[in-house]
Parts: sequence; structure tokens; C-alpha cells
Amino acid sequence: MGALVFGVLPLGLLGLGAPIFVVLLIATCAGMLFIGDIPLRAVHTAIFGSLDVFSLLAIPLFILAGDIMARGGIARRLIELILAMIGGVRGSMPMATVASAAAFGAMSGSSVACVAAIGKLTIPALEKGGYTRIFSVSLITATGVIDVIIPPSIPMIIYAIAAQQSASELFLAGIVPGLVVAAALAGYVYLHARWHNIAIGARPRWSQIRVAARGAIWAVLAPAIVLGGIYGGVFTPTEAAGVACVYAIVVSVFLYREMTLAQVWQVTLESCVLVAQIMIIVAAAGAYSWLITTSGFPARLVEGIASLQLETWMLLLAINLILLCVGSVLEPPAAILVMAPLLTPIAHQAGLNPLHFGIIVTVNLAVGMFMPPFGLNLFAAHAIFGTPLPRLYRGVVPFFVIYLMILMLLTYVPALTLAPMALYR
Amino acid sequence: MSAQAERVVPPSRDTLSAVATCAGHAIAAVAVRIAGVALLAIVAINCANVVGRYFFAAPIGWAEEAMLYLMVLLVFSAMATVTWQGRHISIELVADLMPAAARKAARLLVIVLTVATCLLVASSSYEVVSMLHAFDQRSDALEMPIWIPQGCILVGLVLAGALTVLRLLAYRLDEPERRLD
Amino acid sequence: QAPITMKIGTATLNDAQHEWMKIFARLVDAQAKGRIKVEIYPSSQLGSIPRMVEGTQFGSIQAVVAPPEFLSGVDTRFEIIGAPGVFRDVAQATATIQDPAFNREFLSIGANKGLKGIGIFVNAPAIFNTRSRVEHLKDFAGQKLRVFASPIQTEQIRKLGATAVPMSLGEVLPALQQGTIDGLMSVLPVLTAMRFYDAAKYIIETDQAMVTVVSVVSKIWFDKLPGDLQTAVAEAGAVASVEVAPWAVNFARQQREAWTAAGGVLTKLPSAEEAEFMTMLRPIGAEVSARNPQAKALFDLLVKTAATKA
Ligand code: NA
Ligand code: NA
Repeated sequence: MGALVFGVLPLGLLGLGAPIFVVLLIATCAGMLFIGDIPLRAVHTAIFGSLDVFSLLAIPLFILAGDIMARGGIARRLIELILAMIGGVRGSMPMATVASAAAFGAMSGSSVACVAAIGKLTIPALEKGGYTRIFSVSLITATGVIDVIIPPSIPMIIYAIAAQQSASELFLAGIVPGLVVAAALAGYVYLHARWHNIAIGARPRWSQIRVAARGAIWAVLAPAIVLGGIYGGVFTPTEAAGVACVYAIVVSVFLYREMTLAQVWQVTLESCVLVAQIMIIVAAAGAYSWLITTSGFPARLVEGIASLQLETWMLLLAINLILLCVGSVLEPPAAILVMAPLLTPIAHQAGLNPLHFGIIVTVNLAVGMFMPPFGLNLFAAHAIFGTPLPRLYRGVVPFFVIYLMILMLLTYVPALTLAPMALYR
Repeated sequence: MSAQAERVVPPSRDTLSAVATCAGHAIAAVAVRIAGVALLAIVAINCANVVGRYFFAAPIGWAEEAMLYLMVLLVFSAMATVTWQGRHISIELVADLMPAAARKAARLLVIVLTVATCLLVASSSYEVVSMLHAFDQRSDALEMPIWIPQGCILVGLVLAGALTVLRLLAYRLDEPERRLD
Repeated sequence: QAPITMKIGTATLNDAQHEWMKIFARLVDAQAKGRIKVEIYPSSQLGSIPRMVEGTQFGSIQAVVAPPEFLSGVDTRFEIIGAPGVFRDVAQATATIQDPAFNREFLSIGANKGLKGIGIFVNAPAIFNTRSRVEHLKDFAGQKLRVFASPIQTEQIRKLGATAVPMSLGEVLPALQQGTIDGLMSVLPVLTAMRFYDAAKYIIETDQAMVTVVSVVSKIWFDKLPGDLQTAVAEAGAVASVEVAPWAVNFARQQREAWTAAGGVLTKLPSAEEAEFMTMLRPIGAEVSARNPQAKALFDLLVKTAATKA
């Protein structure tokens, strides 16, 4: 029965082309009625509970901010500046995309927000630069999860609470892994540009840079204001998303005059449709994970692993596999709440540093966000950029492989996560 | 609304389908506008709260709660529009490989399942919302009756079910394939 | 016959609330002889506290263990037990809330809203955790302090000349690190467990109010149980609430030591200022409860009972 409800039923319905939220709700209702003996009222409460989460506000707000920046001239000016500066380097545009996502990661904890905001800015420029749409969308889909790894990260805060670790130390531990991911992705896009012989732009000339920079002053100030506001204690990372909206509206309408207020309203309506497409899945996934939590299934899975008495390196591999599987169905916060209490005792017994383990958990769940077939980043990218999911599934494969290699590196080289801590102390 | 948000539909073949099309368009248009107002209200409250807290040491006590309830309203009203426009995210991997007749059957099955699911969850939602109403349960900061924000889910699910039916009446099963890119 | 499942949830992990659930599960198991299987869900696995409360009311889960302030949306009377200046110390608070007359009265709140109270205990005294050192009353002026959006809490902050900032728990740590807020009102064991000393190392032990924990079960579910199992659940709740009290005191002491061991600093108001502080805050309970006759009756009973537990 369990296999039917958690495996066969959802996959069959997905294959028929049923909306994801319907698939999740059917599986949830079936599980509650036939396995859990739980009244369906729990579905309603779980749906409301999974949306009534403050950090989720970053999603609609950054989607709106990204839409306005893309239409109101901010995005174009930023791209022109970047191309004027580094256009002469092979793979510069996708590298700039990776760098932007990493920078965005330092001001947000939501990777869907990153896909929306950075993707809106960079995808048109990537296409203009000769990269295929599928490569560009896959790049941003996979790069967006860097947001979860680079502090501040909401999943890390939740892990810290669940595993009783210091979130500050976990943030510190996340810096090097975040940079490793960024460097590996940058290396890959450079090779991609070489293999596909993507044309190199003109060598930068000072006069061009000056012109581009003069035009882009207000645009460049956008990230500066957001980062400055967060690290200056003016607003929280989630609130920053709302500030970004207001800034984008003011600059686009009153300074660049590339948008009218009526157009802002149109963009708002279109953003709302995107938000609903994505967040109805967040809501249904919340109900589904409530069912999984109460089903006892994760506990049995972990018990099974523990009973095998594996060597440490094998145990780590097994834990990575479990986390990838769980992360492919559940969003990181829910997955951490369910898995951390189960896995941390095992990790402790195996003598793993809890912060190192926290990074392993976080990166695994981050990868899960774009691992087919489920993955909120995949759905978000599909909604925002219209790329069909099957094509996106193929497109993210190289990035998935890169992340797996990084995952192994981070798993078996604890120094990468723990070294900054040693310096700090 | 722009071309992308308001998609053109094939000419209706009979009165039923014409009425369904009109009704669907009207509901979807109103719903997305409610969502738009909610989203801009979130932006405004967020900024007022930041300014009040940082510059005037006067944060808005109910800001967080109001923004969250508006987000629930936004999601479930715009969901009606998403449903009418047939833009719910799905994976059309297998369906694309099937012959036309099988594809139609699959589409009908999906429609039936969607309506059934929305109504099933809506019925349990109705139980919760009516109990919250009977208990006069309040939110912490706004002291607003909690059945109001939670009722958004009920209304959203009922609308999604209804619009799925209207869409079937308006377009039948042979709506043109749509690709966004 | 398969045992009846009882899902109980709380928001925290490895603290007094979690310990209460473990004791309760053990007692129910012994009393009901395996006919009820208690499943424990710590760290908000079943959802946020308001959602767990609703789940309990409507029978999708069977019990929730939480500070009563979180149930004030169900009935405002739940909040009055957190009023400042009512108790001198933890021992007096424990004696008061376990007094049969008050205990029965308090646990009957929510009976008309799908809840049945089965136990209440003291978690720890309220304290302030701040980024800068607070030693005197005047140091509170102008501080942005995170509290729950409850009249009793915001009123305390107002009287101190500080700003009450409601903020969701997930935002608190980054906000504290960057200085978006200057501190928060909480209890020490929670702060140590979440290692807040990295972001804000000063705690001033004002102890002006007691943070308590109430355990409520789903009335829909409870009323359907056979009589002997109803007794088992109710008794286990009462006994667990008494048994957990010394554990909570001991745990708070350990966590207090852990705070200083980790580089955190504990301060107290000078005794003259402490008296002034209490005089300033004590009227809040009466003021807030005066808005509702039922709340006033319960608050009067609380004060009267406390007076007998010298
Ligand atoms: Na981040
Ligand atoms: Na996934």
C-alpha cells in the first residue's frame, strides 16, 4: 500500500500529464485515508501552514522585482555593463550569471527567488550571446540552488534548530562550499563555451565601459542597496525582496522612464500568475510532506540504514543517497525537519562533525531542488521561462553531475567546511 | 492584459460553450486583479514596516500577519486564473507520446481527477473553515477571524474546480497544444 | 486489535516540552497497557504552533504542547498566566499552577472550542537576550526587542521605553546578527539550545514572568475514547506535568551554565531597580485582563492562589 501511494500512484498520474499540485494532493488524500487513518481536515491545515511562512514571501516579491527589472531597463543596463567589462573573455556571460546568482545568494535564502530575479536579468543576454535557451535556463535552474548553500540560508537555520547547532557557525561553514560550487560551475560554463565555440565579444574598451557604467548607475545601486540594507541591519533578507520591488518600480518609472505605472500593473498581474503556478505546488507539497512525516516512512528508512552497520565512508554514501531521494520530493525546510532528527544521531555515532554534516545535508537537499522529476526550481523555471519540463530534465544533467562531484568532495573532505571555522576561532 | 496573460481561444461552437467562455474569462480576469492588489499591498506594507521600524522605531505590529494572509489570498485567487488559462505545471512526458485518441482520454481523466481532488479537499476545507467560524478563532496580531484567510483556500479550490469544468465546456477536449517558447 | 494512535507535537527539541512528551508517552503506555500508541513529533514537524492547535481542535492530530500564549486566539484567558509580577520564583509558580482549584479552572479553558487541557507546568522565567550589555532599567530605552504579538508582552516592552518588534522565529537570528533588532524576550534554555550567544551574548535575568507550557488534547478524539483510556490520558497528563517540573529546573540550570561556558554573559538588575521594574510591570496583568470579565475572574483567581503559596 505504501509503495502504491508514495510511488506508483504519483508517477502514473504525472505520466498522464496531471497538474503537479493535483498529483500531490491525490497522493496525500489517498495516504491519509488508506494508510494513516487521518481525517482529511489535516490537508487543509497543512496547505495553510505551508504558505503561512514568512520566508516564502521572498518568492512573490523577487518574482515581481525580477519582472520589473527585466522590463524597466535595469536588467539591460546591468548586462551591457557586464558585457562591456568582461565581454572579451570566453564564457563571460554565463560566468557573470553564476557570479550574480552567488551574489544574490548572499542576500536571499530562497532559490526560487534567485531563479526568478537573476534569470530574468541574464537569460535574454545569454541568448543574445549565442547560448541556447535550454542551456541558459538549465544554467539558472541549477545555479539558483547556490542560494541555499551561501549564507544566509533558511534551510541552514532550520538545520541548526533541529540539530541544535549554531546557525552562525553553519553559515560560516557554508561559505567555502558555496564558493566551490560557484567556481566549478564557472569552470564548466567556460569549457561549454569553448566546446561550442561561442563567439567572444569585443575586447573591453575604457570608453565603452564608461558609457555603460554611466547608464547603469541606478541599476548597479539595486544590489548595493539590498545588500547594504541587509548587512547594515535595516531590513531582513525576506524584507529585502519588497524593498527591491519598490526600488525597481521607482527607477524604471521615474528615473529611466521606460515603464508607465499602467505597465507596472500589467507586470504585477503576470507576476501573480507565475506566483500562483509555483506556490500552489509549494502548498500541495506541504500537505504531502505532512503525510510523509507522520507515516513513519523516513524513520523506517533510516533504521534500515542504521541496522546495516556500514563503514563510515559507506554510511556517508548511503546518507547522501537517502538525502538526494528525500530532497527530490520534499523542499529543504520540510526535509530537514523530518530527516535531521533521524540522521544526526547516526552521524554522531559515526564521529562526524555536526557542522560538516549540516553542510552535507544542505547541499544534498539543494541538489534535490533541481533533480528530476520533482524539484521546485525545475517547476519555477518552467513557469517563468516556459521551457518544457522534459527538455529541462535533459538540460540540467551536466549540472547535476557537477553537483554530485562537489557533493562527494564536500562529504569526504571535511576541511573544506571546517577550515574557516578554525580560522575564525 | 498582455497577449501572454490573456490567451486567444478558438471561436465557440455553441451557446453553452460561448457562455462558459465568457464566464471563465470574467472570473479569471477578476481573480488575477484581486491577486495583483494583494501583491502590491504586500509590497507597500513591507516597506512601511521597514521604514517605521528603522527610522521611527515604530514597526507595524500586524505587518507580518497581514502580508502572509495577503500571500494566501494572492496564491488562491491567481490559481483560478492559472486554472482557466490551463497553465498549471505538469509533466507532459508520456502524454506527448500517446496517440491522439488516448491523449484525449488521458486529458478527460486528468480533468475528472482535478475536479474531484479540488472538491474533495474543498469539502474538508469547508469543515475546518466553518468550525473556525463557529469558534470565532482569532489571529494573534490583527485579531482577525482566522476563518477569513483560511477561507481563501476553500474559495480557491472551489473556483479551480469550477473553472476546470467551464474550461471543458468552453474548449472541449481538443484545445490546441500550447507551447510557451 | 490495533492500538489507537495518538500524535502529539511541540515546537522545540530536547527541552522541557519534549521531555514532557516522553514522560507522558511512558505513562500512557503503562496505564493503557499498549492500547494507545503515543507518537512524538518535536521541532514543529507537524507544523507551526497555531496549525498544531487547529489540528488538535479538529482531530487531525491528538495533542499539542506549547506556551499558553499561543492559544490566546482560541481564548484570551490562556494568555493571563504570562502576566509579569505575579510570581516571585519558579517554585511559587509551580505550587500555584498545580493548586487543584486553579489547575482545574485553567485546564477547562477551550473546552467549548475542541480542546481539553491535561497539564500545565513552568518552563523557565522570562529573560531578555540583547546584543549590547543591559544592566540598568535605562539601558532598555530605545532597544528594538522581538516579542510575540500579544498585549501582555508588547505592553511590557512599551513600559520599558523600548520598541516591541514582532518577527517570525526564522528571521530572528539573521536580524539579531545584523542588528535589525537589538534583542528579544525569551527563556534561557531555548536561547542556549539555539546558540544565540553567537549573535547576542548578553542575557539579563529579569525573571519578571513565568513562561509556562500547557498540554491540550483533541476533545473530539478524547470524547470518543473508552472511559478507562480517558482516565489514563488525563492522569498521565497531570502526572507528567508534575514529574517534568524538577527536570525543567535542572535543565535550566545546565543551560545557564552552558551559556556562560560558551562566552555568553549573564547580568541582573541591581535590587533597587529590580523592585522598581516589578512595580512598573505588575499592573499589566490586571489592565489586560480587565478587558474581558472571564479573563478578569481567572486572573483574580491566579493572584489569589499565588498569595497562598508563599
Ligand atoms: Na543564501
Ligand atoms: Na527534486
